[in-house]
Amino acid sequence: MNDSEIIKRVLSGETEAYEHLVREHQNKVLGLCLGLLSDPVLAEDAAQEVFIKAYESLGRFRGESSFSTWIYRIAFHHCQDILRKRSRRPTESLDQLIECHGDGMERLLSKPDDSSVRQDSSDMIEKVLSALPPDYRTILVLREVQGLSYQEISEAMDCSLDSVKARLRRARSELEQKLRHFLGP
Amino acid sequence: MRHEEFEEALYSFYDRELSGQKRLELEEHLKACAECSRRLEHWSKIAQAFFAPEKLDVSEGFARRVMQRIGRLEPAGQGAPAFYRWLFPAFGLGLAVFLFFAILPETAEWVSAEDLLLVDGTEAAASELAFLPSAPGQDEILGYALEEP
Repeated sequence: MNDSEIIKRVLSGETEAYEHLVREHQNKVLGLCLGLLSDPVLAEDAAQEVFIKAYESLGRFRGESSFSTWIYRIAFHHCQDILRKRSRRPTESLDQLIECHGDGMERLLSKPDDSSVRQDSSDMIEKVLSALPPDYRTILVLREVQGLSYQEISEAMDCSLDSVKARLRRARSELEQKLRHFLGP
Repeated sequence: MRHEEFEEALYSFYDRELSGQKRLELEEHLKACAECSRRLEHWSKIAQAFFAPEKLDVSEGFARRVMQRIGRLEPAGQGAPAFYRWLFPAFGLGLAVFLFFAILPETAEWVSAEDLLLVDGTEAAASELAFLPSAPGQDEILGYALEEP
C-alpha cells in the first residue's frame, strides 16, 4: 500500500492507518530532528510534534509533492523555529569557541575520521554547531548528514536550486575560513 | 571556464551535483589547481569532523506514542482550519457592532431643532422637552408651548 492510499484511508476515518505512515517515515524525520537539534530527547519530542502537525493538516495535503517531501518540510520548519528560539539565548560565538578549544579543534581536524576522537569531542562539536547561524546549520545538516540532493533541499526549504547552491557555498566558505588555521597547509 | 567559475562550481562537484562536461573540466582543473584541491580537502575534513551522520536509534514505542496522542485528536481533515476557527467570533463581533450603531439612534431620545423652535422663548419648556422620557408629537409640543403660563 503506498502513501496516497494510506492517506485516503486516514481521511476517510481510519485513523489507525496513520501508524503505517509514521513507521515508514519516522527514521527520516527523527534523523533530521536529531541532526538539527543534537539532543535525542528534544529530537523525539520534535519528531512527535511533526507527525501530529502533519496529521492535523492531512486534509490540506494536495499530493503535489510526495508525502515524504511534505513531512520533511514540516519537520524542517518546526526545527527551524526551535533553533531560532534557542539562538536568542546567549551562546559563545564561533570565534570564542575556536579560541577556547584550539587544541581540541586541532586534534579533531587532524583525525576527522577517527570515531573515538569525535566521541571525545562531541561537546565541542555540539557547541560549534550551536554557534552557527540556524540557516547555515540547517542546510549543512540537510546536505551532509541527511544526504539530501539539491532538489530535495529546495523542496524542503521552499527555495530555488540556485538559492540552495548559494546558501551551501556561503555556509561552507564561512566555516572553512574560521577553521582554516587548524586545517594545515 | 575561468578559475573563479571553477571555484564557484567546487561544492557542486563535491556534492556530485555537477554532471557532464563541467564535471570533466573541473576534474582537469583540480589536477592543476592547488588552491581548489586544498579547499576540497579542507571541506572534506570539516564535514567528516562536524557532520558525520549519527547512528539513529528509533525506539519501538515512538509510533505508539504518536498514535496515542493522535487518538485524542479529531479525525484527520475534520478539524476546522485556523481561518474558520476565527470566522465565527469575527462575524459575531461585527454583528454586535452593527446592531449597536443601527439600533442606538432608534432608541435614543432626541429632540429635533424644529421641535425646540416650536417652544421658542420658553426655556423651561425646552429643557423639559429635552429630558422627556419619550419624544412627544408636534401637536403635543405646540399645545405645550401655547399653554397659558
